[in-house]
Amino acid sequence: MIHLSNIERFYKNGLLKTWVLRDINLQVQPGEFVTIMGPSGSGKTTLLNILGMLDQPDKGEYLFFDEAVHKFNEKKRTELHKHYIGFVFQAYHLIDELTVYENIETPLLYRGVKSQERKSLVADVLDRFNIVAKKDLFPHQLSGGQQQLVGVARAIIGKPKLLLADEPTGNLHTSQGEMIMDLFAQLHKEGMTILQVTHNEKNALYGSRVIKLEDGFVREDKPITPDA
Amino acid sequence: MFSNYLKITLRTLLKQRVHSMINLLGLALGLACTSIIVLWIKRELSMNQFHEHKAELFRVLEHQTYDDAVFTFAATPGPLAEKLKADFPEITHASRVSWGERSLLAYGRESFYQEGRSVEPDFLEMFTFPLLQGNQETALSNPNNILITRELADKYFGGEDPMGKVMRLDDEADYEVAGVLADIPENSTLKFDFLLPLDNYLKQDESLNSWNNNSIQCYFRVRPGVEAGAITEKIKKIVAENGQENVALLAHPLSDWYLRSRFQDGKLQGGRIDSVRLFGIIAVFILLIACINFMNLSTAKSANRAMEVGVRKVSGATRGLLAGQFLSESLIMSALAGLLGIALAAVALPYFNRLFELELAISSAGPGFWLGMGAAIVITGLVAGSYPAFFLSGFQPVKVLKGLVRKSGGAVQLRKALVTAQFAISVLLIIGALVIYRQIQFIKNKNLGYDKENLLYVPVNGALWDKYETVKTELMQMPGILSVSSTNGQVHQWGNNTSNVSWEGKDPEQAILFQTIPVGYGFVKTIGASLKAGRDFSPEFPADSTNFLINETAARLMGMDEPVGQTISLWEETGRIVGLLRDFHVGSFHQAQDPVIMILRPWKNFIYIRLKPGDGLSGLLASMEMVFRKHNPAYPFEYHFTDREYEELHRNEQRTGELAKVFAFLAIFVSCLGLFGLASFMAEQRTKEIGIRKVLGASVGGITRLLTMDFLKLALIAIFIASPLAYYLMNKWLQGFAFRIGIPWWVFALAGLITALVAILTVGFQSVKAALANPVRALRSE
Ligand SMILES: Nc1ncnc2c1ncn2[C@@H]1O[C@H](COP(=O)(O)OP(=O)(O)OP(=O)(O)O)[C@@H](O)[C@H]1O
Ligand SMILES: [Mg+2]
Repeated sequence: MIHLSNIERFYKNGLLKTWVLRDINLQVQPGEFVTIMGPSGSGKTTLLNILGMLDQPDKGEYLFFDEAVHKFNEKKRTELHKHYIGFVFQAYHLIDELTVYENIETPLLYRGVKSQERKSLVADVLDRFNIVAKKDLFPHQLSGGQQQLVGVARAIIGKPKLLLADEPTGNLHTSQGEMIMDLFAQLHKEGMTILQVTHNEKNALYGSRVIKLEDGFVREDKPITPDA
Repeated sequence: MFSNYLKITLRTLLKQRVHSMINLLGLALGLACTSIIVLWIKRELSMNQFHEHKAELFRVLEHQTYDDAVFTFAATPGPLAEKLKADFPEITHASRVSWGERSLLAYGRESFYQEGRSVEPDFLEMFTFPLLQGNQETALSNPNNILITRELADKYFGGEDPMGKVMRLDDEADYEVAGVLADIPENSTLKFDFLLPLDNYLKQDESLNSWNNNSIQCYFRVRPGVEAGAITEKIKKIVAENGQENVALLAHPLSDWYLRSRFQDGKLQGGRIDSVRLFGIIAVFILLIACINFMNLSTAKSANRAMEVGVRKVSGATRGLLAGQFLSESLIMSALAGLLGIALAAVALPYFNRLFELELAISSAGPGFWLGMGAAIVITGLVAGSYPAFFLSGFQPVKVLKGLVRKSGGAVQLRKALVTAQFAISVLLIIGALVIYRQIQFIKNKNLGYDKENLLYVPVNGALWDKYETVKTELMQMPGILSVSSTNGQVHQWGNNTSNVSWEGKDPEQAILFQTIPVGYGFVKTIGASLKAGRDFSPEFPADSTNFLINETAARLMGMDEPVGQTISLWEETGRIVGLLRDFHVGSFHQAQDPVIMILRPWKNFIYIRLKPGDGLSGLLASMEMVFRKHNPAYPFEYHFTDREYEELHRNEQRTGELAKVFAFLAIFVSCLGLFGLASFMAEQRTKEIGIRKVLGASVGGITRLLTMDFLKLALIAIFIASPLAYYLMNKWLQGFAFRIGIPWWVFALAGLITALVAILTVGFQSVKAALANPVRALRSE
């Protein structure tokens, strides 16, 4: 479903070019659960943004289901975001003006889900993430970890086909982290394609494949065997 | 300290260019309007103020009471002036003053129409119209003296000394120049080119000796310290005691002549002062809108300056000191805007002057103007800066560091209220402009009951009095002329009325004022009025010289169902009604439909000529001129078109309409400026939200709608607030017209639509821009 060939991404700083991603070649099949790892600044978030079509590569080609992404228009991209792709941001990115409940509900609104169904879906997720009590609070009234939970809840509520999660458990207590990873595993089993970024070796084991980035290069790309 | 503030202000100005431009331009436009309006108000208030004895000068007005109404006139009986002076010790001077007659004044080969007034010797001691040459004591004592203004002296005599020269008036009487008056100031309501002693004027009109006729103006001067109310009480009944029982006199003080001279039912209803107030309020409105822009943008951008406030506070600045800093900033801004505004005003003044036929100029404005503008600038600066100063200086360093300032709900609410106020003012001005425009169109197009198009009139003078029949015959032979008739006044502004009418069954107590129109043969046809029953006057019926035509209103007031054939009497002369006219207008639209009685008389002050519609007008006018010049060689050919003169009557409203349009546009423009700035700021502040929403699947259209709706809601609230207010105010304005439009609902809808559209366009542009922005960049900025 995802096919990257010779992707490059760089920033110009005066005359100086700094590469963030270099010569990335990558294929992801539907139903895979891929973990991306690497030191800070190695380009993980940048890669995820490109995969999520929020950002464009400076060079190379990105085929999504055999179609060139750079040819997609705004409308097509909006459609994909609406129905196909879910995001968990490293910096949470909740809407400050909306309550927890409303933040989680937003993707459903854009999808045109009926009010009754929305209510039950949101209630379900709130319950599962154990944040029912917080549902009427605004983001700035939550702790960092709680905001992260809301961010994850928002990403998965619409059951996207492709989930891009940037350090979804970075700020969470171990047991909460495990809960999230169990959830991801279950979603994966149900057929969701997942790409996650993490620094946590244990979390990486939930996936089926690990990609290691360093200085913008792919250093390693190998499947995870259950006994490894 | 101040130079530090100035430096920071200028730096902020340059750093936030769009924001600063909006503030500066808005305030400058507001102040430009203010400076023009201040100039104009100053001029209006200066009317007649040049008279040295201004506090002691009065004009006599008559309130005449009739059955259904009280009418107020400036005409008084001839003997009044002398009686006032003789009977009341506090009245030191009095003079009758004629209405201002246009006459042909000639010296040698120079011959022009000029306006003169006939006055009594006291005139020169009452009013400050100084003599540059001649003796004030004796100048008006010889009936054949004439006093001319310096302008006239230059025109007729060039460099020569005018004193003692003999000028010929209307080709029949000679006058000797006995004085040269300083030119009449532009701000005088009493206007004239020359003055004559009253003697010859008195000889021409017998009725001036009677207490029962009101036909001349009377002015008087009192001893210092005498109040208008007190002197009115004393003189009130004089005319009533001398025969006209329905008349009460009023001493109208000089300061009111120009500004407060509209009376309705015997009560003062205002006058020009209303316009002065109206435009004063509009200036304040526009300034207010500009101030709101300033407040909104400053508080909105406050987050950017939160750090500065925090740091300054930590380093020991008190709240007062900080407020002082922000106030100085807004004062500096408003001073800059003031300079720019005055420059803008200087550019716009020629347009304004043309529209109002004024000669306002900033260069000759005088200290009053600069004082007024200084005050406006300082007040604007303080108003605009007050809230930001209060708001910004209140930041607490701890909260600033936590980044909590953005969530200050109070400021957001206030900003919304202010934007709503701006919208409301704009809606108010749009509705006002629309209603005024429609009323003017209504007046222009209303069926007057006669046909004012292609209707020409020629004032009768010189030899025309005797040669009317010949001229008429020759004119009638021209193919472009349909009919010719005569009358003794102008139809579009008739003002010759009497209550001396009686009919069978009249209640002797009843007093109704009838317009009486003396006409020649063929008048009804010439002006294009129509007969409902009976016939027009005709030479075939010799008895018509004592017969009458009346209009429908007159018939109704006299209680006649079948008026034709009935007998009535006018001025004690009895005759028969031979025709019933459909109602037609004899005046401006401020007057109600009057009852009219037409009589057949050879009193022909004006010749009315009905032209055939179509072109060839200039050729026709040329051949008409030949006829008039042939029979009346001493006078130039002068003619007027009734439709144009009629429009002239409503010139004031037309100008008000023009101005309302300009100001409504300006108000909206300045509001838009602010809105534009605010919207760009809001979009900027919501980039993160927009980015997230896009990632979650929101479309560009959806985001644009989201941002625009916020403002649209405010616009809707404004429409609901402004509409009833506008309805009330415009209804009040319309009350001044006897014939007026209703205010249809769609005026409000249209005003609302315009406002909403403008809001959508202004905000929409920013919103689309925000919606199209790359979400990664927005999200990265966190
Ligand atoms: N706008 C920018 N201009 C210049 N350099 C940038 C810009 N945005 C990102 N970078 C650089 O790109 C590199 C990769 O950033 P990225 O956010 O992808 O790292 P990451 O692997 O996600 O790191 P982390 O684990 O800390 O989240 C960094 O070195 C960063 O400095
Ligand atoms: Mg990252």
